[in-house]
Amino acid sequence: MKKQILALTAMLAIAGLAGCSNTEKMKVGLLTLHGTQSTYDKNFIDAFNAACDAKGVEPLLQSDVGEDATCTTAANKMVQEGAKLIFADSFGHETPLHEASKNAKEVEFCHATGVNAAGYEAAGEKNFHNAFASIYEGRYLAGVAAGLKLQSMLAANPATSKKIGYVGAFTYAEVVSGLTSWYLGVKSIVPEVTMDVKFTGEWYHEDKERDTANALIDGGCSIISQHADSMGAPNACDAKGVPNITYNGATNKETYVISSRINWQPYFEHCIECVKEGKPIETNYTGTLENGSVELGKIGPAAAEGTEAKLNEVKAALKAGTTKVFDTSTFTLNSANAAIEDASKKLDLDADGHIKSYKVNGTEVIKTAGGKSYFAESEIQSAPYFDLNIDGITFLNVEYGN
Amino acid sequence: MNFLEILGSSLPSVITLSVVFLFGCIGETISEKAGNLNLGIPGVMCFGVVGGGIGSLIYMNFIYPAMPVTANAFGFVEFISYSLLILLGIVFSFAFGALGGLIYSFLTTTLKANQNVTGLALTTFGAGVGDFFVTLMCRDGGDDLFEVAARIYGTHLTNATLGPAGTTFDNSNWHMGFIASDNPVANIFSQPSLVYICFILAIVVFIVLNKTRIGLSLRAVGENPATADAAGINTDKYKYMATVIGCGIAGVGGLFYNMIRLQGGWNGTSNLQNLGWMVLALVIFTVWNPLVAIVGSLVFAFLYSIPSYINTDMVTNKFLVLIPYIMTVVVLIFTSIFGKKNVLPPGSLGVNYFREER
Amino acid sequence: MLKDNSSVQTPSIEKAPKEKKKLFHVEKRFNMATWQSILIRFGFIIFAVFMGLLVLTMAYGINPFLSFGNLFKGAFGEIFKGNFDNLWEFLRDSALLLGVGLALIPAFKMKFWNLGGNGQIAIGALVCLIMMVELGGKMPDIVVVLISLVAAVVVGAIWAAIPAIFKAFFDTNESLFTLMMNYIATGLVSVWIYWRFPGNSNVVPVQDDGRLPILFNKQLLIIILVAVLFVAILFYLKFSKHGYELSVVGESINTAKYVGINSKKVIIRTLILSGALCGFIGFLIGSGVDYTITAETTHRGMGFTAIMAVWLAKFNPIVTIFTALFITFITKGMGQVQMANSRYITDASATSMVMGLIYLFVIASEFFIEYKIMYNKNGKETDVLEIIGGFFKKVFGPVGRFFAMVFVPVGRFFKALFGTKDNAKKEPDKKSIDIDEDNQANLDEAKQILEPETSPSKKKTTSGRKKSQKGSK
Repeated sequence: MKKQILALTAMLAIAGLAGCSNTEKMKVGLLTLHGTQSTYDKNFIDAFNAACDAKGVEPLLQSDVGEDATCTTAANKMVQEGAKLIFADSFGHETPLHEASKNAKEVEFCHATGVNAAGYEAAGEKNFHNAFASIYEGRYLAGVAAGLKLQSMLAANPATSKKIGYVGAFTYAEVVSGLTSWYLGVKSIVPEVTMDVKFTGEWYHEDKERDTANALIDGGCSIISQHADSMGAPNACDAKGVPNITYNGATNKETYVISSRINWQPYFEHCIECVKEGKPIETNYTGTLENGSVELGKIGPAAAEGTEAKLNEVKAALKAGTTKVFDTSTFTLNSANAAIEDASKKLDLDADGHIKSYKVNGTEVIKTAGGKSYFAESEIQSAPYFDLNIDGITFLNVEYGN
Repeated sequence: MNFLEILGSSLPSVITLSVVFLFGCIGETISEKAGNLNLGIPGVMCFGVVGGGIGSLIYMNFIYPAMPVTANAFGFVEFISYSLLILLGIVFSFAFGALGGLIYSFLTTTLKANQNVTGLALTTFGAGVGDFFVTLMCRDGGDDLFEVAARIYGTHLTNATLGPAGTTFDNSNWHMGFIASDNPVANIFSQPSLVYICFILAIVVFIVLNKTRIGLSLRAVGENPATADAAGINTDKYKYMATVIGCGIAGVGGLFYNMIRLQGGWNGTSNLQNLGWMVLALVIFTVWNPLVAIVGSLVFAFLYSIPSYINTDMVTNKFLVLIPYIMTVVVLIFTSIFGKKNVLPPGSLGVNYFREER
Repeated sequence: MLKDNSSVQTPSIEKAPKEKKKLFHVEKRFNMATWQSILIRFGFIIFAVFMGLLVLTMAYGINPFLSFGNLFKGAFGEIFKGNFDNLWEFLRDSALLLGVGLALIPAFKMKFWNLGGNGQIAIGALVCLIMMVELGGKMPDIVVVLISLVAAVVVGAIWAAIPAIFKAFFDTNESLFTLMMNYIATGLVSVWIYWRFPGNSNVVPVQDDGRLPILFNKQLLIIILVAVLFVAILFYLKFSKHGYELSVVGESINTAKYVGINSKKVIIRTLILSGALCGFIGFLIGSGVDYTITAETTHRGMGFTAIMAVWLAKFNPIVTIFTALFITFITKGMGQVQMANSRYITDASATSMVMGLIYLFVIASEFFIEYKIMYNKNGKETDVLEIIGGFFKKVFGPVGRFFAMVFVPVGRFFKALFGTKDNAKKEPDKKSIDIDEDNQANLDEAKQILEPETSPSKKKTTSGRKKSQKGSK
């Protein structure tokens, strides 16, 4: 009898190995850092499945892929499965993913939030690309909505604190760019607003984000936003009745004003098309408001009157280019924050503290268009690189410049 | 912020976290007092989330739509209805947690399997089940129902105004169990009903364990099962009872975590698992005494949360995170060196009892 | 009452609360042939796997037979297409798990529940990475590698020694102490990562220097190193004085005292070994697999899965090879199942669920190997498992026989080719069932006293020894 059981098992095993999936559809893969429990990854996964459905390709997903050799293994597995296009969603995936791309030259590898693709391309590799989106525009719009809310709160109660709070994950450019653009959006409505920022040191930690938001609220912040992947801060705001701008997911709470997110579906569909038609994929792709990569969530119950109309107005101006988020005339830096230790960065301010010029590795990132001078975020590289601490924003728990 | 301000600011969050710990701690204390070291507590709490979810969905799908809802009203009908939801949640989460305890007891008491291994297996299984089934429930709108249910769980007894989603909010309304007022002291005393249930439970369990016959027998089984057996106590029965009831209580902790701490916004078991492991530490920290556990879990939750309220640089912040664990180690060491009998672990903790051949 | 005076085996006659009716009663099993016990375990495992896959089917409509096939694809990959990468990774990951298992076996044999494997691996990987980052490029690679190795092993040893010292001197509960050390270790990793690479999103750049040398491919050296470790540990446990001492301390501290063993020294020494080996695994991961470190994922949870692996193997290093392979196989297999059903399974919950189910079922299966449930029908008692087995024979017999017709000749061909040892018995020894049980028990006991190595089942040996210690407190 044991022989019979072994035989049965062997048969099933061989059946499995000999290939069970024999569809003709093109296969596309996605590697995510966590699963759908994290709003960040859920955003990617939902967009991915939708894009694959829309384009008629077969999705391969591996979740909980760490930022280490397991990423290379996972990518190799997908290559073996026959994937022609592989995405990855976390910053630390870049190097391990690149390892896999070196051994699979005929497969396209697209890494979101990364910064090395330009360098790889210069070295002659054609199949590794980075992508991001101009989320700073989305945050600016969310900031406008927050500004309108703050304005209405001030109208109802002039003693309302003109301070807003932000729960950030890390102190590097991606987060700083986001928080600054949100702040500038609020500032465009309420010019005297200031902002406190506290960092948690992790992308995803429910308890820390909740407690950080609590600390900000009790430190006098009237509105809270975040760049962190759990619902800790929205929950805290809900408990304390403070208006909240979320990231990567709208909520049903009464304190919810608006949210912003990157919609990856346009990018995924674009890449799938490129692979199908044999066209090259951009080394640095930046999704925009125009092509739907930057989206605002629904307007929530806590939003002020007239938010929708104002947002449409500002959105049109952003698309047309008449309003620039990082318009250098709208913000200043004090001398302490302008003294950057990093020798590869050279910052020049005018007498009032506005930026005249900012060179990173010799490249000038301040541009002029339509008479306005602005920091050209996401134009030279898809991943954000605005990393300055402007006046009005206080980083509470880190010595900036670390 | 100075220390008092930090205390006031963090207290609502600390209280919710401490209740999650407390449910788990009470449950595991009962189990350990009978000699069962249940490393499966993180998994059991995940079972409880599933149970709580099922109970809430039953209510939201069948009872809530049938209710006449008046915005901001809290009359007799609402009181009965909302109490029913809380009861359903408790019953189902207790049942699922108890199921976890039953699996553990069956494997360790009846089948004499090793306790550590069984506990770890249960944790792995429970975490997977939790993730899998709650994600399943959240698909197709379940998460929206959870959010509404969570608002009801968050109703507290002292302020009877409830605003279902859609009413305009206003700072003077209570909100999710806490009065959004400027008086932090008042905030402390208005809590969701589950919080009071938990504190009362701790006291009751303490009394049962230490002042009743049953408790005495249970402790005897945990200290020295051979002697207890010789005295005619059915050791198996007590071990089963202790673990099943203990895990049931921990399951209610899972319900509390999802509905009140997370306000219905479930997003994965990993955080709950971490808290579950800390519950095991907490049982030692509170020297197997439910009354001490009330204070101990508050202290523990405070130590856990405090780094986020202090404005230090990030490296120090990451160091501060280690404090609860270091404190537990310190307590472990202290109680083993200097501990008197009543602060030592139960004598046969972690070891299965085999009745010798007659 | 000593904590480690456990497991006095006993035939529990009508004692288990579930079997109260005279219809069933429980008896201890004797003379179970090895193949039967393997078959029972295997049967339970297959059942657990199918149960898990069935849940997936009910929830999402996934075909369970395809899933079963995917399980194999996960570990082996496209070997029919000549691509062995997957297989190499599978072997390497199994080797790492085996390595952690080897680290834990000495501690567990000594009844010291070292739950701190994850932390010991993490701290080993941490110092390894620190060396790689600070010294890499400034010295020849091989020097960096050796320094990392030594540092990882030393720090891992210290990490495990701390709980051991407190256990030895103050009887501090080791399960919880080692568990807390896990958190402290991963916390320290987090601190270092942030301190050393502040603006980098908690990511340590992949190191180019100080890597373990590549022998034919990335995996081979690691597998070889673990194999060497395996031989060393086997030797240590079976033939060295230390090995004997630690198992005596595991049996009973009093016995150890009587025999003149310094149990405090043994406990600390064994845990130093345990931690050192975990640190070594951390070194292998840091300088041979990832070339980077993260706070949460570097140890891959192996500190816990290895506990299951060694327990399944009954703390036998040789059997641990197979359990480590098996666990890695299922993990990779479930990963493949997840990938093949990407629309439905969007996190790792299915894998955890199936793994947990397997563990629970195997734990339960132990009971059926130790004891048999006798079904009493009309005065005739039969083993319940035989009834189940007979049922399966009737249902699957014809199908299985068909495939056996195909595969048995193939199997015989390979056997002839490689000349394997003849399997001792094909059928259980029918004679033993007829012997009166009491006599059989006496016979067995006599056998073990005279020839402890050749007794029919090792379990009887330990219970025999324990019976003589009944009087000790």
